Amino acid sequence: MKSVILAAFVAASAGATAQVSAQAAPDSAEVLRARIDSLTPLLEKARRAVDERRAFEDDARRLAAAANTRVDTLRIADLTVLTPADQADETSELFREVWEESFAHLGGSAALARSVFAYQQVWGEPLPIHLEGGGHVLYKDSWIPRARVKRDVRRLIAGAASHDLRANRSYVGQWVRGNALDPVPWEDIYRQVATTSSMVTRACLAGESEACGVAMALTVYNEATRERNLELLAEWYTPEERRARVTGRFFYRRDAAALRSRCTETDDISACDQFLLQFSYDLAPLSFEVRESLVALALTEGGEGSWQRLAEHPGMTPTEALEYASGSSIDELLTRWQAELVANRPDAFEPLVPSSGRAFLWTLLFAALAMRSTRWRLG
Amino acid sequence: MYQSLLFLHWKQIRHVLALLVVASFALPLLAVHGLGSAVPGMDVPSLEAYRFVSGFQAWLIFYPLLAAGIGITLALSAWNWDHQLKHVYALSLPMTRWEYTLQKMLAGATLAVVPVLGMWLGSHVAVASISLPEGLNAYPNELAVRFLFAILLAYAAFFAAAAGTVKTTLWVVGSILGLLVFGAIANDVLGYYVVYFSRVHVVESVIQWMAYAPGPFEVFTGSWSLIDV
Repeated sequence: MKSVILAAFVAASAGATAQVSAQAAPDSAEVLRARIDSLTPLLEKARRAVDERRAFEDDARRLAAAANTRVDTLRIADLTVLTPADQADETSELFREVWEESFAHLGGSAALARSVFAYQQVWGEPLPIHLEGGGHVLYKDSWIPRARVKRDVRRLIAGAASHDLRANRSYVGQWVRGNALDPVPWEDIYRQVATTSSMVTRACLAGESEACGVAMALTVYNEATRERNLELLAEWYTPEERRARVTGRFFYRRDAAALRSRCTETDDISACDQFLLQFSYDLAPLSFEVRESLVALALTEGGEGSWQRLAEHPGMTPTEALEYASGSSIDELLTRWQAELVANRPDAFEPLVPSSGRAFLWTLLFAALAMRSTRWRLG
Repeated sequence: MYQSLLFLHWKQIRHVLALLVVASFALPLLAVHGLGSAVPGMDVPSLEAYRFVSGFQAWLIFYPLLAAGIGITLALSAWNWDHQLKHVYALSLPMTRWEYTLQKMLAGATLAVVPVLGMWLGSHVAVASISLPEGLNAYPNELAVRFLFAILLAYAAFFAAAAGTVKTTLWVVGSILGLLVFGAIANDVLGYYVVYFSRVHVVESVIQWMAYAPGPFEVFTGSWSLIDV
């Protein structure tokens, strides 16, 4: 196709040139230029045709390669994994490692048993898989460090397993909402706790583990009537902190603006409370990510079968579910969580001294190398 | 001799150095620009703390880049004059080469202190210009110390490279580029046939080793936060 178009283009060019030559005259330069210009659209057309042809050939090659890919179905503990046949051993080893390291001790998961995962390390063509229903697909293009691949696989499995808590609409599932099997790093949790202006988070950091539970809305969840919320607001925040929370929020609704003005411009703290209750999405000082870290700790403490226990009784309050899953009282659990939090404080420049020392040694080494240059060596 | 070399280096680089000092002073100010704009008379809302930390994150990459830029500029300018005059002046001096190199290096390292002072002052001014939300602290001194060591390291590495022959420099640079380009390709190809190479990546391992403790450039990958918990 490409050659046909090019041949047509060359023929057209030759024809035009021949015509121009036949009529050649010294004063016909403009005519010649006009003829050449008239060929420009034809050139563009030829280029487009070649590009289209190339794209079509690429598609055809991709489809042909996809049709030839044989897919294996692996069963690894609770997991069903689809993978190209030639990658079966490697995929099996990868998923088994992740499973043993992070999920084996947690017990069975109905959500995982229902899920289908697809995995392929991509060098050539993508895996031609269409998963009906709850499929989880992970492609890995080119080379990626194994630790990162394992992290992604762990996230994929954790995300699928979290449906156990959502599916049965358990209180703990509603309380934690997110992915409790893949919590954010402790350093980030610490940053969140330390930067939240709330008297309970301050108390939590100071060592009152019970306050940590209050800040996570752990003990009061699902008893939150409007009046209870008002009580909670007073328990969570000082009047100044409540006013400060309103200061940072803007709404275009007229009633919101009026409440906001009353709150920020007068001493009417009840206006601040009303504003927060009506227009704030989540009032608890600490976010769902922090709650996830508590659930993750409970699962670690609980060990064998803890995930199963956590999801077993949807009617349990979060406190009861965490105690049941971890095998510890909520006070013990919160004490350990608080200790873990404080131990993981991200000291911004703590490693500066050894790091600077090493940098200095490397500097000396480079200086020594500089002094040994061969530039002035004679002969 | 040290004073002469210092003066010579200063004379050669003073205009560029002035720009780098301004950049070092301005960077912390730019990083905190727009933060801490709470309503007067009100406590800073807790949401502000998140904004501080996340707002500052975007600027973190510029600190090590600026440090590396200053170090490289100082290193290359230190040898520029010698290379132009074919090292005749240095060879005419009644001193050994290593003494000359050491004094030249110390002169450049002294000049490195100037942008560090700029960064230190800028950080303090930046911190003073905002009211930090509860739970956050400022680390202007620590940031300046890290900045100093990062500049010194980049300076020393490039000083050593520039001190050698062109042949040596080409070898070093060529080896690094060769490792980055052909190492990755070779690893990918081998990884397709040998499982072991699909798990171990030579280029990435080398980069990891160089960028993290105890590698030489660890100081660049540490914390550069002026403001943190």
